[in-house]
Amino acid sequence: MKIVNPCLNVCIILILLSVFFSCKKEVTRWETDWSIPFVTDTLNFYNFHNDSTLDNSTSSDYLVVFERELLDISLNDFFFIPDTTISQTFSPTIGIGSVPPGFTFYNEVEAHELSVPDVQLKKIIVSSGQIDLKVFNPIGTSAYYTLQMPGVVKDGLTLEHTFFINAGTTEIPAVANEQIVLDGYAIDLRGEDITGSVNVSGFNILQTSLSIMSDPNGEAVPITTSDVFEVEAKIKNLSIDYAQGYFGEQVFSDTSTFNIPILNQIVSGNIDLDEVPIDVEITNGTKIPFSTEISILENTNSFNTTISLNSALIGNPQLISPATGAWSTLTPSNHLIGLDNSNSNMTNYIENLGHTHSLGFEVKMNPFGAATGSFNEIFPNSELRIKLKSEFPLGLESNGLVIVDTVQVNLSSDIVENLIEAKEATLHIKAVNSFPISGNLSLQFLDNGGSVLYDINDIETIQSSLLGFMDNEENLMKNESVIEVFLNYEILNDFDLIKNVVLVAEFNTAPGIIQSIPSNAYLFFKSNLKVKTLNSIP
Amino acid sequence: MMRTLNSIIAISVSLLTYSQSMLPLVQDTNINVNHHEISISGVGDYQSTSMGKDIIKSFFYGGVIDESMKLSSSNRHDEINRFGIDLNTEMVYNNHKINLFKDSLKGLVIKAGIYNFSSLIYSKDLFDMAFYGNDMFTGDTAYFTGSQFNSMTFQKVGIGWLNKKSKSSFTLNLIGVNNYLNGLINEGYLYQSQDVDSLEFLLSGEGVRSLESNYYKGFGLAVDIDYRFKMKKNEKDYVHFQLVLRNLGFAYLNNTENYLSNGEISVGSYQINDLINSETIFSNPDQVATDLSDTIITKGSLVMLPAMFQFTKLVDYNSSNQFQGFFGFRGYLNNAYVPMLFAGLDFKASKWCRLGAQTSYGGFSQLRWGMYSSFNFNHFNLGIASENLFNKSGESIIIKLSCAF
Repeated sequence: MKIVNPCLNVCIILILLSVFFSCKKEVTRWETDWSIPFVTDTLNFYNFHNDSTLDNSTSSDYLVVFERELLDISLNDFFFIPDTTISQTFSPTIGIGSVPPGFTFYNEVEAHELSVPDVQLKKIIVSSGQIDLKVFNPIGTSAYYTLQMPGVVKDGLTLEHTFFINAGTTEIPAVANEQIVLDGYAIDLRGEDITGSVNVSGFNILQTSLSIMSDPNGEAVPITTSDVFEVEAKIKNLSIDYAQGYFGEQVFSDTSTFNIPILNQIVSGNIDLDEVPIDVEITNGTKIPFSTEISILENTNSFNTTISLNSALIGNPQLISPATGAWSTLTPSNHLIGLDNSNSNMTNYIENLGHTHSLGFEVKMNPFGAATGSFNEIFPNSELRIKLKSEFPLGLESNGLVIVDTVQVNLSSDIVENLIEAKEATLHIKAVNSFPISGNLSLQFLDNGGSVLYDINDIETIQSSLLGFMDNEENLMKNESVIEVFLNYEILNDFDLIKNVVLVAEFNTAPGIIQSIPSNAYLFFKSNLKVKTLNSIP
Repeated sequence: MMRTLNSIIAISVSLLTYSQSMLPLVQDTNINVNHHEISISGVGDYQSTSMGKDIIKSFFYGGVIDESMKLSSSNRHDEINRFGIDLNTEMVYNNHKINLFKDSLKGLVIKAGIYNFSSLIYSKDLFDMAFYGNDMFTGDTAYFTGSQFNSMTFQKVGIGWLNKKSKSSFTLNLIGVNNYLNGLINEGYLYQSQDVDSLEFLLSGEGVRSLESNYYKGFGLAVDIDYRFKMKKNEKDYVHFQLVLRNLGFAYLNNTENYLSNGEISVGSYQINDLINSETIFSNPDQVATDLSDTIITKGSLVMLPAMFQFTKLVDYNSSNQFQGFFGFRGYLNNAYVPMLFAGLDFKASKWCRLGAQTSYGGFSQLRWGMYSSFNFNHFNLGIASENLFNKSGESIIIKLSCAF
């Protein structure tokens, strides 16, 4: 009989088990390093180059060239001549037994008043416009109607138009329609006095003269008191090149709001700017006296703090002289209201870093009323303009000046998943600073609702470009910084929640030094996520 | 006594016909006294021009691939590198008793086996991208052009005849394919700017993979030819040669997915990790292929088997010399496999023990050194060999167990 030692069986089982488990493959693991672009941004003033805010071409340092047009009005804005219908009628007071052919039986001049409220026009030159004529003939023979407009002259000839109209009846007069083009006509609106001479004190008067002659080839017809000879003239679409007269005491007022977007990015801190003038420039291309009053100039910064500019020049009307010359020799008069530190609290005003500015103004025509006479003149190229201008070197002393920008995070879900599972991750930041100001950079990670999930404040200082090197190609001093920021597990775990990153740059200059900002200066910020992943294959 | 001695000699000789790719091969012209032989052989061989076996073993057995392993492998890489795996096991039954076709010299051969042959040609950049990530290619271009991958697993059952004296044989095999995967990158690169903010990815390539969930994805036919001949060395001695063609044939796969990608992909840099993820490449190559393909066509495919051909000067078992040399070359129908030259020395240590050493150059690797030993017992033989003992980028083990009765 074969005897089997039980220990041998146990050993065999153990050997089999160990063989079995030793065959079980471990997980294969290795680490890889991935570089994923994260956030790239450039803080610069390029957006303001074409905004007439910054001049980067005149000098090596930025000039703030700020120019906003607040008012620009031209001839047609001063007054408007509405479409006007004038009518001249003739009805004999006694009957005329028989009117022979070729007989002129009516020839009268009538004056009509143009309805232009508060304006006394003496003379105008029409650039475009027309008269639609409608003529009625009540007699039993055809007739020639001649319409003349005394004082309406072109090339030395008075406007006159003769037209033929068929025979009609008293009950149903014949009707003829004609159109007269007024382009280029000069119209004397003074009218005539009782002597037939020009009424020098007249205004807004349009004269018409109508004569009616029976058809020389027609028949003799009677005219009764029931016959009404009528001409309707509708003056329409009148646009003028020139006007003379008294244009009244019109007032133009507005409160203009304009933005300086660059200051939107500045959220805190102080800057000391060099001398900053603000000029309000009024250009008067009309031969009308004006007065201008700046009623308010104020700005509001990102903290909704509003500051007003205080100056004796604000709230007090300034007289604006009329232009000189005429037509091609017209020379506008310019008036400058200069606001600076000497006559206002300009420094405080600017250093409020307001991004939204409001300027209220009022422009009054003929401030001394009709006493100035009727010598207001407006030419085709006459404009009244008000501009706000400022030009100064962009130099500042900053103390904790903070500029922010928000950048959207566009990481794919796969990357986010990898990040969450990453073994470790660092934010590799490359910053190129060409501002001559050192800055501290910090990051804020925001969720979808804009709430700050994490702050990273302990980022190294980005040094001033003055400590860097000269880039001859860009003609800028630059300082490059490479910064590694370790991202902890908490941030990595919440990466799926991060939708925006806020870059916060805090700039500081040396105390008491106003630092000019080179043209085209920028702070370039590029970051990559350097992620170490543990890959595993079962 | 004589009968016993003859039996031992015959068994030993018959068992020393190692598996076809094993070194060395011996030749015996004696007629077998045993009527039946069964041999089971197993080959496990992986080679690489560059990839360290420490990394490869980590994939086989698991474990951590550390930085030093990656660095030493990366440093060994040239622009173009090769890697291959040859795994197979084969069982052969020879019947010397039967006389096929009424020919007393024709015996019966029945074979069965399972084979996996995988090869990879790849660029150094592909290795670095997979094991280091994209970080090292910042501001640089990673080139993948010319990389290709091929893997096939199949089984065979065959029947044929052998010449009882010369040991030449012919076998016709039915092939069942278990898995097939093939891919080629005609042109491919990935450029990342210095700041990784622009990405240019070009991939022009094609790939095929078997699709069906069946155990057999397709069937085919193949032949094995073992042709042996001799040349006269002097009046008494001959030099014996062998020409082997194994698995020369084809298979038709009923259902394959054919991937085609041809074009430049300009993608947002944020998608870089979507395109290249080393874990995904290894763990889910199908997904990677699908993601990168412009066109995917499902159709049947005719594929060639990775046939092996080998020419060898054999060791003459009947020679009285204690030392004999052998040499030859081997090739596969595979782009990654460079024809391998080999040569070695056989030492007859005793009647029951033979030892040998050989060197080879080519294949999936470069210079390799190997040894073998063979032990003969009553009706049994055990052979153990390795074609790659000292190389840092590959391993090889060949085991064969035979019996005759």
